[in-house]
Amino acid sequence: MRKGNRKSRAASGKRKNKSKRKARRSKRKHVGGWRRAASFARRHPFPSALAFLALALAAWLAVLDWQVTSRFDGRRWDLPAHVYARPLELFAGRALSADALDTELARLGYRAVAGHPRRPGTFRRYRNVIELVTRPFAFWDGAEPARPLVVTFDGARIGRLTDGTQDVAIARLEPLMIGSLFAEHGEDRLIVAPQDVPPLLSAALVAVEDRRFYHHFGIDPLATLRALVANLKAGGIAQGGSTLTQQLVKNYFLDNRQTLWRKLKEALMAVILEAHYDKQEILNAYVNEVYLGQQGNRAIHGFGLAAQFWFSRPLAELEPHQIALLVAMVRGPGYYDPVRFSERARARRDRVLAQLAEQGALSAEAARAETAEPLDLWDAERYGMAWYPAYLDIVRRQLAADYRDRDLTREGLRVFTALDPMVQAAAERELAAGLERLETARGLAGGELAGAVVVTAAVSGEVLAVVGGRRAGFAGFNRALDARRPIGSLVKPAVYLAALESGRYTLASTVDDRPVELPLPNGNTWTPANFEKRTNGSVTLVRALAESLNLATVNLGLDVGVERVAALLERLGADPPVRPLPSLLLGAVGLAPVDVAEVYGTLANGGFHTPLRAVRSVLDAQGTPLDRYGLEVAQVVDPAAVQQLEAGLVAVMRRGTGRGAAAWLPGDLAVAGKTGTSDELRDAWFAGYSGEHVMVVWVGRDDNAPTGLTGASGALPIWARILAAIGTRPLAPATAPELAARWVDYATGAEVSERCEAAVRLMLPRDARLTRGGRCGLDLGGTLEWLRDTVH
Amino acid sequence: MAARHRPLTPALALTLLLGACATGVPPGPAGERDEAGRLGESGSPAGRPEADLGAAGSALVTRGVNERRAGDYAQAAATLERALRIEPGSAAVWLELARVRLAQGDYVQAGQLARKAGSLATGQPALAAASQAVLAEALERQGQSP
Repeated sequence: MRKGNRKSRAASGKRKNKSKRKARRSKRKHVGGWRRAASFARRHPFPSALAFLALALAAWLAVLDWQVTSRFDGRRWDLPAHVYARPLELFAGRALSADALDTELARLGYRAVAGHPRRPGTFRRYRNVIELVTRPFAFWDGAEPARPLVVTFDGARIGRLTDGTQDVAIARLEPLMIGSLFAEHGEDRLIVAPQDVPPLLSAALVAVEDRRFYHHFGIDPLATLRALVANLKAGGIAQGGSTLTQQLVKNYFLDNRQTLWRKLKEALMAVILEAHYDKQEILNAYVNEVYLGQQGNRAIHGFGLAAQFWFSRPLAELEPHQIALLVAMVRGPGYYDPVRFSERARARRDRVLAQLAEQGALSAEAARAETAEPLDLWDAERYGMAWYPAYLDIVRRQLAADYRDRDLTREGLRVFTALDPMVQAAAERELAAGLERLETARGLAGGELAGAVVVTAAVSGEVLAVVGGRRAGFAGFNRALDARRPIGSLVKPAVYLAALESGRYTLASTVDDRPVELPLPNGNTWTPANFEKRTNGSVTLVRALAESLNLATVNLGLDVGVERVAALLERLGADPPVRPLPSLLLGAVGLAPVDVAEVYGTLANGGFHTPLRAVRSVLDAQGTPLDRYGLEVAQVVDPAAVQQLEAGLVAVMRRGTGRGAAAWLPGDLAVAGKTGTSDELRDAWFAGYSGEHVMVVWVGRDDNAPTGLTGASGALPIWARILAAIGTRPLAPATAPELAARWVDYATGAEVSERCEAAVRLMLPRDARLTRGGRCGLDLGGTLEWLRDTVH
Repeated sequence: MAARHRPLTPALALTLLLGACATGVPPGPAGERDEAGRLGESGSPAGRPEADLGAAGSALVTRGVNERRAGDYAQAAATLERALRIEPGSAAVWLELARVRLAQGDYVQAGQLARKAGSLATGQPALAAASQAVLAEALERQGQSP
């Protein structure tokens, strides 16, 4: 902090002129008494000048006094809104491995202890048990105290949850802070109250920065003199003699220039500050003001945020060596950056520890032990970035509807989101690795492919993860929200759902997969083709959907009506409105991944549309709830129609273009999904859902050039790997009373025994009439062989 | 489906009973049967309604119902949504959330949430009937509102 202050002296001349101008202006104001005063001054030049100077000085002091007190009494800082991830819920039966909980605790900066954990933010792991003490936290739905928990794991599940003696039905950890919505100047801070400042921190600041803090009146002439002598000896400015109060004043009111005039002003303001406020208040302001790090354009201010930033812990939980490191960094967070210049930072930290021992704030023995500790920084690499710019984008957009920018950047709001750091980390990792694998396998240049992932909760529409590109930790073009690309065959479920909704079709009905020519309004003719350039004659709807047959779909969609399909797509949540052109039937409509997630979310929610939400709740700085973004549902499609369609989307995964997912997903996990590939292989999509998650993966190029990838080869492997990594629940069985499960021949739609190789389980209306096939394996050889070749 | 879960906690059984089956049940706490929260029409044929919840979900639903009874609707909605994250397929949770919206006078959402509850209540007659009753009341009140 002080380092930068010693640079410029050039401004003093300008300053003087300015204050002269000010003085002239103030003289002009009192024109009334001017003549009399002037004659008095002529007669008594010396006392007059003196009186005038005294008056000017008094006025100036009054101005300074007003500046100091108004700043100190008023709101002292613009406090950015702080954004939190979801809290991790713990309950018996939950799918969660001990390793996953361990990682979550590490993200939250919990400290492993050898014995029984007693203090909040500590844990112990042994055998299949993790014991911990949670931190107290003010949630949007009430405050929760710190509590001990004993989590016993049963494989990859929580087997039992107790507080040490009694069963606990449900408990939650405090949420991870994932970012701030700061203003342009980038100052971010987390205010700590005086009672939350560790005594050792106060002691260390006094010991290192200002030993006579509790005895001086704002300035410390002795220290200033000492610094002057030292500087003269060193032949330049090597040591600052500023008190903590002066440093605070400098940060508050003055810029970095160090001139004599400024020094005087600083000293005066320091004295004024000391006259009005006690030492405790001044030290607390210092603790919250000081600059302690930089992340991009985000400036880390105050020890509260610095503790979170460097150690992912509340300030109160820092260990002595961690406090010493932060105090060491006060002199220059860039120069003593513990990541880039770890040795330098550590050496200075150890000097601080030694000084603490000298001053008696720490026993010599303790200081020695602390000196042996490594820097112990929070491992951002290992636990995933604690910074989620892509997710913050969607948070900002949701909040922009209800909050002014200045409220978000100044009022210290607390924003609770649905971000799941485990899902986010898996999505970031698998997208980056997946794109790299694709590039390697296809001989593409590294970095040629771009991608995006959106994961939402299947029922609530809550956004769990957003990955806007392969370098997830960096802000930039957010493909998940802003890359509107043709969705290709992702549109097909809407076509089939429109057909099912009409009541004229079931998935066992047949449709012609044969060429179609369509005159367009502009005089051209549209002649769509199948991906494999062959036609299949009469096919079942389930097969046409599973194998993504274009011609069958176009014939079906034209029969149902393009307008109906377009209207249905909008009902499902597609935004902006869709133009009802025939090419819509093959996905010639541009949607961003997040839009696709909303459409597929309606399918996952059984025909109930839920607007996507990233923010759950907003609290003001005092913890009073301002807004809750509650769950809103609207039934937009008959659940029975959606449940019929779902059987078809399951067939996609079992027999159709999505079957490659079986390489990564457990065989018995029922999931629904659909591939999408745009013209000339520019965009590779996969969208699908389980009983718990909706996920959309897009792979393409930023310049929109062809990639040679299909939905199945480009996006599906990434989708399946993410789903496997996060663990998910299978689809719930269909419940609509008007439906019954029937086994039909995949190729012909005839009712067959479930033992037949071609049998597919469909949910059909109870009154659906099926031809009795009965004969297994009818003409299947060709179909199966053909299926094996299918890549689309 | 219920068989796979832990047995119903007595407290939850009571709250669901109170909510779903007003006939023959002693009057609830004050405010239970106020204008907006009136749920009198529905009746459970069985003595005990089905529930499709584990222990964690049960605990939250019990809390949410109590919060609704106490008139703390925002809190109740937050608690029930928390339950929904754990038990997204539970008709009982959707139904209780519908009751909160009904009590709040948000009849459109009450009706929609009741529909959702009903769509999940297949094979659970008491929950299906209770969902139907909330839907009916929500629709009636929507008709009455200007």
